[in-house]
Amino acid sequence: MSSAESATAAAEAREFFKGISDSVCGVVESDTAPKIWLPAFGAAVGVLGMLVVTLYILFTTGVGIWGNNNTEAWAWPIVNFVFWVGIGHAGTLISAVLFLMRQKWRTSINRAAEAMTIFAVVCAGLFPVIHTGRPWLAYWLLPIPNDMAIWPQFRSPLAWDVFAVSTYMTCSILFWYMGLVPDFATLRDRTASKLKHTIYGILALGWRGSARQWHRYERAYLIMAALCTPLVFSVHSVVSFDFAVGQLPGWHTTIFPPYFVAGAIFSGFAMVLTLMVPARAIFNMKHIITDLHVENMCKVILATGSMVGFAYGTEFFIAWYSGNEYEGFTFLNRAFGPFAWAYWTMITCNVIVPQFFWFKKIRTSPFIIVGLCILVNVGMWFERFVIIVTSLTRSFMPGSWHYYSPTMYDATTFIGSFGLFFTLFLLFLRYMPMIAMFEVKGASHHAHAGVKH
Amino acid sequence: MSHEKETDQVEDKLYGLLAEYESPGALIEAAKAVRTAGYTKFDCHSPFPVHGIDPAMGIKPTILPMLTFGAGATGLGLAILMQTWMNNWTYPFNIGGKPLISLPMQIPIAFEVTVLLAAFATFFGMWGLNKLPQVWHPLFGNDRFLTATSHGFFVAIEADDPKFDDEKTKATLEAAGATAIEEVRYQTSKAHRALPKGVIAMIVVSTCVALVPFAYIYKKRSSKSPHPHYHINPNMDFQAKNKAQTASDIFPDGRAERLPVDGTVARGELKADDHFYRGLQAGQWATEFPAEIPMTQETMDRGQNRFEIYCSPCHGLGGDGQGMIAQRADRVGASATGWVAPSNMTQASFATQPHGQLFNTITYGIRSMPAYGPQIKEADRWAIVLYVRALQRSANATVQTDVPADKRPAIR
Amino acid sequence: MSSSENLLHPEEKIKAGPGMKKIRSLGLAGGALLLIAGIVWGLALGDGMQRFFHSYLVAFTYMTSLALGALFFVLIMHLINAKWSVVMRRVAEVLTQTFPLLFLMSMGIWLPMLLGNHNLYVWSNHEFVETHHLVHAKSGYLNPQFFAARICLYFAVWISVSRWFFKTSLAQDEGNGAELRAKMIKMSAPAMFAFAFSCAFFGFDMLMSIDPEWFSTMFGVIYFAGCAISIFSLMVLIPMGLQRSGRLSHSITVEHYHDIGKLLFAFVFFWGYVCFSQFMLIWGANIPEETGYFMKRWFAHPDSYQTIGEMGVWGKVTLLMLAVHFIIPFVLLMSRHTKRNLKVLAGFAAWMLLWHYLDLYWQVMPALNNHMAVGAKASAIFRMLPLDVMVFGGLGLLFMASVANTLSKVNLLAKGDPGLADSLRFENQ
Repeated sequence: MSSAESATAAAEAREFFKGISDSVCGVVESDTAPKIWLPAFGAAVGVLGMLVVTLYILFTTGVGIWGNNNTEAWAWPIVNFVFWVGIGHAGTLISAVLFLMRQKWRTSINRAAEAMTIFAVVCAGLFPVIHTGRPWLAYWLLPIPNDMAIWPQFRSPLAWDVFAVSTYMTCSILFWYMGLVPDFATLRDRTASKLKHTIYGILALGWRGSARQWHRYERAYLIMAALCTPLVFSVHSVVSFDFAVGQLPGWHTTIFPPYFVAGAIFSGFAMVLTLMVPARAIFNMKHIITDLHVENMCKVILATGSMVGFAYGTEFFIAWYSGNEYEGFTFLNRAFGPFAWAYWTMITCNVIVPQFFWFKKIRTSPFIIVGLCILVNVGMWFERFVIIVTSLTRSFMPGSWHYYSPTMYDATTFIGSFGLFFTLFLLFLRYMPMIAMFEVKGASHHAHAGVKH
Repeated sequence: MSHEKETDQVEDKLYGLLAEYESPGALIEAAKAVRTAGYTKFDCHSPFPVHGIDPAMGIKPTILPMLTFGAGATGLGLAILMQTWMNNWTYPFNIGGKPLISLPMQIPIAFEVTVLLAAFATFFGMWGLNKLPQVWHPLFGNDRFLTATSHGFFVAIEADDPKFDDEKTKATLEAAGATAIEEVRYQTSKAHRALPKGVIAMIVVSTCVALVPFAYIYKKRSSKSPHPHYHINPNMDFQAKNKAQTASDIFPDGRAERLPVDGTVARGELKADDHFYRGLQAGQWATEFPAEIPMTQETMDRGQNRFEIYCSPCHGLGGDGQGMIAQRADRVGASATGWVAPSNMTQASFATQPHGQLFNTITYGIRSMPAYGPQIKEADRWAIVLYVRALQRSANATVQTDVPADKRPAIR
Repeated sequence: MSSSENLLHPEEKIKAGPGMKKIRSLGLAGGALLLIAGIVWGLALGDGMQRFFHSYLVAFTYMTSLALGALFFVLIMHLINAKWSVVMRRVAEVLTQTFPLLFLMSMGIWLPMLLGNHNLYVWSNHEFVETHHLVHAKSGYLNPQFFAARICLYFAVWISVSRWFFKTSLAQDEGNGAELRAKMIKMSAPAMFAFAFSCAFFGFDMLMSIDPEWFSTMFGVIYFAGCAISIFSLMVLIPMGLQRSGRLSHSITVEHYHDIGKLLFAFVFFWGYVCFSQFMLIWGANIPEETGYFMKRWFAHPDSYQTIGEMGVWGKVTLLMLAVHFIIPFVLLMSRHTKRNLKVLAGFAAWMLLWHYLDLYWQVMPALNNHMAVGAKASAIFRMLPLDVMVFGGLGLLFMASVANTLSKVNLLAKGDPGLADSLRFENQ
């Protein structure tokens, strides 16, 4: 390479790096948000308000305001819990698993996906806590010394859940924050405002991009990714244990752990796309989150959707193969019983809808993608509904059989949790670097500008 | 005073030289050159980790993985220990017949705690090893350096380096292709190094604010008030329900507690056998022991054991009415207050009472004697009756009637 | 011809030497001999070949897991558009060409059954089915004819998929690399679909139905985990063997082995994860229909509730499996240094291949009456173990001969693939 050529390459690279900083930081630095942001934020806060009101009524009245009863002690709250935890998993998958697999395209979406993870886990954590009926005593779930000298019951999967979800939450926040630090440093060094300089300065911890620091940082990032990968598997496996350790037909099946993990990734990726396809259009990030990235995510949805379909098939087959009449009945009841409508919604949305992603044309049309992804999320919500509600309403004792119907408050709690999620997510989009700048820079071919082989 | 002023003079110090390079590749070459020239106190700065800079600078692998591994192993051990300790030793509880130490069911939490501690070690260990957070650094004072987190590539050589020499170092950096070289200076003085006044004020204010709740609680705890306690959290403490021994408007008799419907029999409480449960045979006091009570040494021993526990405090170990309580009642003159002394059961009038009557007396009590029915089970009451019979016989025994002829010489 | 050929080191040898043909002939002769010896030994045991067929099943599912693993390797690398593994892909492709041989071997399972030998699968015996309600209920699925048809179907799928990918990859060597690569990537998705179903159901049919009253939805996944472990072990050993004979010595570097080591580590963990999930869920729910499987593999007298607490030989094997198949490789492969030290890595690969055999053995043998299994009596070891060695050796050598046969005919490296340049340059962070 001649010196002139290398000089051009270097200039191009610097231009590219500066461009990334400009477009990502520009969103945060700009005084005005995109036109659609404020109405969207207002709507989200409104829905959040609905959640707050519902929770007030819930706390002052009791869980009787929901449709839960003796037959379906776990109804919507646990459906919603599993739904949100599942959504969260895609973030960790993108940031950790794809990192270990050296999928460079992840860099454009991992920050937003990690944020989505944290907010989804916040929403998820809400449900078991309010489902306890006396949320102010939720700390009893933790092994804290107390004057009653009682301890948690560690042979219960519900106690595992407490550990799994809180560990997951903690590690996700650590990982996310760790990734944010160098980007906060960028914001700190670009801003002219003294207040912003101080805030970003504190958040950036004095980061100055030293190679000796980068060395440990990269190592730590790799280790965190290696820790988060099995962690993300364990969390949804533990959630599946909540069901599978029991003996209820339809809950007790050994494939549940990997099947739940696949389902979680499936729904999570659908959520990432639902959020990021509009976000990249609104914030002009199409050159960073490219069509190729979107297409790759569609393929992941297709793959995990097929895995979920595979698990449905296996479950059905083994229910017959087991020769266990209760097991067999449960599955026939799912498909043809009173909740058949939920079951077929689930099958349609989870198995059939992703098959459209075989076509490149569909993988490249944003509106269809968002539509299909919303359907996938609907389907995944119904999957949990089918597992929890149909199994509980037709348990071993016909005397307790029942048709479950939710109340208005079930709906407002669930919809309200979307308000919480979107409020947090919109704040994130506006006030934090939504794209991991240093990772995008490091993953581009410009990062090798001037390197002699 | 003059002495203080002297030490607080503002010093203008040289931190080192900062050189900018045009590309990541140039930075690597520069790092190589600086290292070859023998510098040790230098660092490269880039907006992202530059691949290949570690060997160029001679950075040794970090010990971070060891920290992670150690913390993970600690977490694993702690979690197993915690679950075993809590569920096996301090709070053992049978759940579904599972062993108290259910190792397979400890694995999920053991795994989570392992990951949690390992993640903490990685996260905090990395910042600690990097000596961050750091509030201030001389390089932050340099305007050119601001681009180091966006698109600039820099090498900084510290003036502390033993090989540092302004001109020579400059030449080295320049030869490596620097596009700009600057001296980084910083000002330092006692005032510069002290904590800023704002921070001190914040610490003081937040400490004061944090103390307010404690002061309030202290005041409330140490003063008296006629008002009821605050009940911040109702916590289902006030419920619209009837409690024991309370009044209720719902029923005509005004009582909240209700008797069971007439003829109600609780499970296992039918007690149809008059002989065994009430000591009656055809409406008369039973003169025989029920068939359920075997006439064996075991029954006799059981009767003695129960008698000595429940009866002997008043009736005495021999049944003669001279128990500890009776003796004390005599001594304090209790009979003046209506105390009826315990009977001497060895008297003939008692010896002729049917078994059933004795049983009934134990069950329901008599005069000052309370009912023992609720405390002593039926079979044990019968055993006591048997033992009392033995006491009566031994108290009224004569050599002629009760001692076998061949044993008589021995007691003479 | 193509520009990618220039990428290879000028002294790189990508054709197998004459030694390969020798291996083929030796494998063929030795395999046939050992198998015949095994049959004779099995007949001599005088149990109607029952022990022989069980041993054969273990060896056969083992060999099939190698080929299935290889097929998985080929498909997954295409599916995720991996470039680093291009230098190793041909070896996996060659391994998938053993399916026709494996189909012949599978006849050893289903032909005798069709001909009326019911010593392997109790459900194939009409009398047993009539007296066992649960087995009778599933006789629509578990019957000799349908079983044979399914096995043939699985092999038809595997043979056609693996041949297509092999041929397309060979065609790449002649040119048109980029276009053919795109074609293979496209085909890999539906092929993966077919692979997942057939692999899981192969596991259900071949291994789970040995205990026809027991069931577990996880079972297919566990068999797949075994396939993956065996292929990543083989992908260390075979390229190393080729390199020792001077082939591919410049193309495959420690970086590639490091990555294979990572995958091996990941799947060791995955195996532990799925096995633990299956065990813990069955242990926790404690439903008699399911626990029988583990009772057989733990207690000395699983059918007698008086002596239930006594751990038997299989319990010790279970603990051994936990140690050697999971804990030891998991802890030691965690370190970067073990994965980059080729001798250590090769040692672990061989170690995992060995214990993968025990894994399958552990799944099949306890289904036999205890007196026929190794370990019930010390003397049984000397009667049973040689049989296992002969049958395994026989099938293994035949498998090796088939691999050597294909290796001797083709380039050892997909030199026409456009990903080759990246693969040759590949470096771990």
